[in-house]
Amino acid sequence: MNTQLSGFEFERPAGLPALRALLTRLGREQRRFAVAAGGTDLMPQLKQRLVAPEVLVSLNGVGELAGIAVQDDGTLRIGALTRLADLVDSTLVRQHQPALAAAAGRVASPQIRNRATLGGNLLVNNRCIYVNQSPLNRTVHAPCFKVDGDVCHIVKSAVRGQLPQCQARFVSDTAPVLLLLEARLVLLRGRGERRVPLRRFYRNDGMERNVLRPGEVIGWIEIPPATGLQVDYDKLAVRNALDFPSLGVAVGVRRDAAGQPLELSVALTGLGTHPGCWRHAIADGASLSKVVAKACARAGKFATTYQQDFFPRDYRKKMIGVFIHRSLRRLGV
Amino acid sequence: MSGYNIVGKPTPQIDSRDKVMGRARFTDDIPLHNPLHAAILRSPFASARILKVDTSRAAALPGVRGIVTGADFRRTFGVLVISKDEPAMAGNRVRYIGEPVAAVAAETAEIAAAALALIEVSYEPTEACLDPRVALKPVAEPLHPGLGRDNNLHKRVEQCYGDPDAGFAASPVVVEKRFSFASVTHAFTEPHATQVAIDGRGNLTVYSATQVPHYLHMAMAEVLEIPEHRIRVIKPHLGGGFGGKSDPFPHEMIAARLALQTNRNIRLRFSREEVFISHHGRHPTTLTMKLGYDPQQGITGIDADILIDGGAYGSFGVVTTYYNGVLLQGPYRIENLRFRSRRVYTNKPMCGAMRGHGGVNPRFAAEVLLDMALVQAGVDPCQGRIDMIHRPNTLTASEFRITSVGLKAGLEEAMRRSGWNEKYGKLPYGKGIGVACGFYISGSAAHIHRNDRPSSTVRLTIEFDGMVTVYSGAADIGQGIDTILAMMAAEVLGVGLDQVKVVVADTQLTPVDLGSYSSRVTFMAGNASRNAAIRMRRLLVAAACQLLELPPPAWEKPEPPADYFRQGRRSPDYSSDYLGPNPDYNDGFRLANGQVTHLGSGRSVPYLDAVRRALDGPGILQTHGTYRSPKLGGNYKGAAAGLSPTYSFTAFIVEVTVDPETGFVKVDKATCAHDCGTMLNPLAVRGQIEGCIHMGLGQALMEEIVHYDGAVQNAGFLEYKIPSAFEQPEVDLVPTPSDETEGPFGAKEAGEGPLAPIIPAIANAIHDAVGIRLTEVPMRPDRVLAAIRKAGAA
Ligand SMILES: Cc1cc2nc3c(=O)[nH]c(=O)nc-3n(C[C@H](O)[C@H](O)[C@H](O)COP(=O)(O)OP(=O)(O)OC[C@H]3O[C@@H](n4cnc5c(N)ncnc54)[C@H](O)[C@@H]3O)c2cc1C
Repeated sequence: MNTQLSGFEFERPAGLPALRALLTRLGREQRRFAVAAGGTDLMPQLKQRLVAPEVLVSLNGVGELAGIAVQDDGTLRIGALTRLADLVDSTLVRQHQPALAAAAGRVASPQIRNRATLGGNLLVNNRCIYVNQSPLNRTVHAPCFKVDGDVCHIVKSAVRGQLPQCQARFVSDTAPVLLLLEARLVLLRGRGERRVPLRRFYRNDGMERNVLRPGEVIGWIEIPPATGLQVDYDKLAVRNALDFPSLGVAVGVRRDAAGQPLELSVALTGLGTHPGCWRHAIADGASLSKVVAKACARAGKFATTYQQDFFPRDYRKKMIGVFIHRSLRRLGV
Repeated sequence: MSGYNIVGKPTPQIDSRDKVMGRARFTDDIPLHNPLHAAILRSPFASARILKVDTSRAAALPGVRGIVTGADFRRTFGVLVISKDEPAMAGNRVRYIGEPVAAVAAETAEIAAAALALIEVSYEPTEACLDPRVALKPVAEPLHPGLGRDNNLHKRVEQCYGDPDAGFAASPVVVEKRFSFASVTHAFTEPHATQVAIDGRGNLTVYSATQVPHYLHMAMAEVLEIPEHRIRVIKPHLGGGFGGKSDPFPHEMIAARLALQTNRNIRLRFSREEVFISHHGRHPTTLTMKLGYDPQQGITGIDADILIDGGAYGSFGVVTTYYNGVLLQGPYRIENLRFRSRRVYTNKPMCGAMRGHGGVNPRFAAEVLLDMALVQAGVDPCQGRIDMIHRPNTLTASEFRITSVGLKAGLEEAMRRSGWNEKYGKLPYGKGIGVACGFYISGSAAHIHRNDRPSSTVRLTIEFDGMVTVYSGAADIGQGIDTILAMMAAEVLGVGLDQVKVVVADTQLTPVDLGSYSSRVTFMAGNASRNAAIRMRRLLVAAACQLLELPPPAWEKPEPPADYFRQGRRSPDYSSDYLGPNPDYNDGFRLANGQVTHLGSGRSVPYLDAVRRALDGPGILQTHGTYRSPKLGGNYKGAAAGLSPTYSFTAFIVEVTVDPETGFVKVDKATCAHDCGTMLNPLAVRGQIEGCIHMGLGQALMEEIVHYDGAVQNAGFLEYKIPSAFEQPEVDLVPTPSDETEGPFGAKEAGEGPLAPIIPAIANAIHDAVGIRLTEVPMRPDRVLAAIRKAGAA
């Protein structure tokens, strides 16, 4: 039997005003809807019946949300609908934020990157080997919190409603780099917009994953100019392509004009329910290796990761330090 | 004579254009008239009694035309006559998660899916047996009570040749380890699919993605309880099998039953998840092996205790159980061999035949242990192996008849080309080079079904226009047998490949070939095609003689050599098929360039004139050719296991880079010496070997089916990791010819043998790189790293 989609209405607003009007209407009518950008994360979930919207809203007609520009103050503004392939190829991005291009280039495969968007990548659903399954598989095991059941197959003692109630892991490849770059999200709704720093966006839960409100979409991602900050990203995955990060590590070094490191920052993906991000100032005369050790220890502590990946949890934890050190070598520290 | 026209030239497969351009029709592409869409309801329990299946609500759904359940099937089946233990649909109990329980045929796929949701099944869950060690313990209700056992043992084989204990006692080096191997699956491209057309007389035409049209034909007649002549099986283009389509399957029976019930055409295809659930992959294995070595004598003994987890049903499992032991008899000389091999039933999807069937996991153990022993004895791992490789024309402990062996020279050349002597033991930490060898059957000498018919029969015709058609039941599963059939005929008849068509794998039109398994087709169907063409050639030469007014050549029936190595024992039929050695046709003619030329006089007639003259009398030009194996082997129970008319031999030298901080292994280069006799089509041989490397890489480093409470948790290509193109290493193929006399134009198998040794070659290279011995496969980075750290701590 081949997996078929369940029925839904399909809307494809042409342009931002139409999108806003549609969001307002759907909100008023209290319709259950889902937004699709590239659809590369949403489609598998629709097919597996993990989401069953009444209305599917495609963003692909909203041209205003695609594109990359540098604003007068040097802010790099990227439309949420920008395809990852375009991000990878963009000279602006490569020039201003090469680490973002590099991280985007590590997502999935070339075919998927042609479709996948940056907004979608920041919202890619948390994954769990007990959830991202077919309906048949999910009838075998007792349904878990994330599919409206009342067990967690990972933390058997977990309680519904108590954060983190769900351990599905955060897997976006671009979030760590954007966190280190202090990116902001411009969130749009029917009327109006608000700005949320990415570091305040995610929540410590595999189900209630972020602070996006019903009826809100990501419009743009803004990256303030960052002088003296260099970022490196690398991910642990079984294969060179296609695999979600078993661990993704972004490492940033901020230097003064003389090239002396002032701050070391680390962000992680693939381990917990949300991305981790820490900054460590390097005080004058402080030993760099001590700061690095502290950064590794901090990141290691965050990783309350569970066995739900190809790689065992201990191994992934061990790799955090290895990846941080390798990034620092590449950054010339 | 060796100047071949066709044989030995790199030849794109004759259907490659159709495949590349999207014209080739695979099973699900065949447009049947107004088919019903079938869907299967599968068990969510690993082990349960079925109390009731209520299909009434589903039946009432508009658009539903047919429903079948276990009650519609009385007979079980199985590819092996000795274990027909599988029902087409679960009757009163289910034995694995995903087992078919009911099926629906409806006007659309959507209706079929909706109908499944309306079928109510009451299950009474029973305790599932998931652990193969537990399966050996007594249990109240075994999976298959009919075997009369109090546990879930399916098959036990114990054999002993020579005296291993005495061998060990006298050996300066004895090594022993326990190994474990994860469950891996074929991961072929085309999911299972079956379409069934039914005509007004109730005859079925079954299109199915199968490697074994003939076995499917017979099994279907038996399960559906209708005469064989009412069933016609056609295998369309097929997108890969690797053993995963070499059984008759429940879904094939289900589709046919639905066609009979509804009197409508049926279309059934699997999702990828269903493919994983149907499985039939390599048996997860734990084994302990002991190996003795003496630099003067070679391997002094092997003792192995093997436990394989068969899953819910038999499939090829009895053969697998034997192969795990008997395939230790090569590629090296060994007189003292003892093994105990056991297969158990568990409540998981069944295991069966997968490329390298039964030989892959024990080969890993033997090659790793041998490597340890050679290192301990201070013998070079390549040189030590070379010295022990079977010599041509020898008998092994259980009477495998080893005829042609070209591996010695091949491995020597591989050593040179890979720079072995400059690299082994001399590379910097993290870089390593390793070697391993293997051998494999080239078709099974014994039939699954006992009868005296040939293993393969080919019919060959030439029409008035000179077009040659080869009719064969052989199943091209992508390996290229269609092309080989055509090449054999073209070579013998002196025509171009474009002048040969093949009609294949259609049980109404083509004579029987037993199927694509055990690496038998090129050897057996290739021989049958060659033999049919030789008979045809005689008709053409006789016609040419008439036209040239020459006396007809007097053919003497060649007598097969009488010794055992050429003929085997007790071979009454074998000699009747024997048409002489390759490729001296002994007729004094040359067929080439559209001419039939008398070599003695230099006079010739056009090929077409000879064809037409030959047609004058009978109006039809038709011959047949067959292949049957010489009868081989001893007279005791199990003596037939692993007997083959000939064997391929392989060596791999592999270079790796191991990242000592992460444990990641990158295979940089594979140098392969594979003795498949004559490479009939070097392009296809290269394809097979590169494919073996890729598949071996997957099992070696990443592939692993994960179960949770008996359910397959990674039933898709995102979480079941097969290597991508990035992981494929540079490949160097070392020509490794051998003096094979029984294969068509001297050919042996190339599809399976090269799989087994690549895996231990990687393990041995990892040892050279970082000094660790891994015994758990896949050799995942975390295992590599743990072993490196342990070695560092020690
Ligand atoms: C085989 C495979 C491998 C993959 N590997 C990786 C990987 O290595 N790393 C990785 O990070 N991801 C991976 N992915 C996931 C996915 O492809 C990417 O994360 C991709 O960037 C998602 O973008 P999209 O536009 O396709 O998202 P969509 O599928 O369109 O959307 C994803 C989610 O975001 C929501 N959404 C999208 N855009 C907006 C918006 N502007 N405002 C509000 N909500 C929005 C959708 O409603 C949906 O919930 C993989 C997917 C597949 C199928």
